[in-house]
Amino acid sequence: MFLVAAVAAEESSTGLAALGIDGKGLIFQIINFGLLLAILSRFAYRPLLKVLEERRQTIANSLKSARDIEQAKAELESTERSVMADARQQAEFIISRGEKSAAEIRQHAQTIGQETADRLFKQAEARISRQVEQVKGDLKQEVLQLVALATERVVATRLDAAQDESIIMKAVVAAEQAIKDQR
Amino acid sequence: MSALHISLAAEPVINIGSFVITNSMLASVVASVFIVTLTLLVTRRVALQPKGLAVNILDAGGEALLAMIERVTNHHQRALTYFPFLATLFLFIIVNNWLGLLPGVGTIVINTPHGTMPLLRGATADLNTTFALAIISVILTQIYAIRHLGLLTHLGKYFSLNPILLFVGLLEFIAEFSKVLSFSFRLFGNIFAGEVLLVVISFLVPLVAPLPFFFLELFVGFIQALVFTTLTLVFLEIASASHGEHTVDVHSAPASASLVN
Repeated sequence: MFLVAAVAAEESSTGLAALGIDGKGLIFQIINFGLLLAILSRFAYRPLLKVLEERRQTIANSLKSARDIEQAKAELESTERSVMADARQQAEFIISRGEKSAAEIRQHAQTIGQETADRLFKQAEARISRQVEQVKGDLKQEVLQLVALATERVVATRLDAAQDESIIMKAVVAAEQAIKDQR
Repeated sequence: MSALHISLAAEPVINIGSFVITNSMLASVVASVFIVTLTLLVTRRVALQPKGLAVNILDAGGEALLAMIERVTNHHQRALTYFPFLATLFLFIIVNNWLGLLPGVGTIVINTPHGTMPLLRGATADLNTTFALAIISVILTQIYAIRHLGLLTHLGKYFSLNPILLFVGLLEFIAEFSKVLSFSFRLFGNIFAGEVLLVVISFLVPLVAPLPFFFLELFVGFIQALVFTTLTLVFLEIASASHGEHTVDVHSAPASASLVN
């Protein structure tokens, strides 16, 4: 048979005693708890708190490292952006300077080319003029020689004045024709 | 079927000279030995990476309690100072609460000069134990407050030349005594009522019916331990703060602190 809890409180008791409170029991429980607290504090909580503290420190260090890495990464990204911006600016400057230089060089080359072409043209003209003069001189010389030769031949035969003039005129005409043909 | 008797007081089971050992004293000693053995065995294996269920439970429980204390105090060093007392308080109360629910506690009886008595009785179902815990809690609160604030500053909370502050101090002084009563009767009332409920249900419907109430009492035992510990923590923090410096963040305290009934 199931036996339920025991005896009723002493009906004759009053006040705290009626609730089962007595000084000895109270002191016993205080001492019991005090001993438990002392033993646990000395032998159980120290190693436990030591491990908890170590873990806390480890987590704090890890978090600090993570924050440092994050900060370094941010700084690195910022530096990268700055360097990239500088590089882009320098590249744009170099490109614009290159384009400007190229335009100047092109302009200069065109000018020099033009000047050279003009000079060569003038030189060619001068050379041609000289050659023309030389040819003319040669022709003249040749005509004179022809005239002289014709004269010799004419002189070798007896000619009247009319024949003489006619021969001379023919020689002159022939000489002019020869000059025209050479041109 | 025997008559159903409920005893408000703990029953005497052993006499050592004139000193009478009650069944609740015996139970509290059993609980203390159990706590010491278990924690000593487990804390030897505590490591940065704990292995084993018991070690993990103790580790996680310790860390959760320390975190709760830190949230309330906002002070790591003070949390470390309070931790041993509050952890012991919590362990002692919860083990005693649950010990009273074990089969055999209250049902195994022995013959004594006073009659047939249960050998063991949940210690927290005895007002002596809850009164002792409440007195320890209030006295340690005062000691911590004096250590933190200094004797004169702490006494200045209760005694002042300003009539209004003197009246407030008087109310606070009375409140310290009312804390003892509220602490002890709340815990005793909840646990004793739970055990009586189980006894009555078991008496009326012996087999399946007590099971849901058994689980309810397990939960109540946990909650009451948490409430006692949390309230002690809050009172510790309030007492350690000077006037106008009450730093307890009520939102950071566990919701169980409001489950006082």
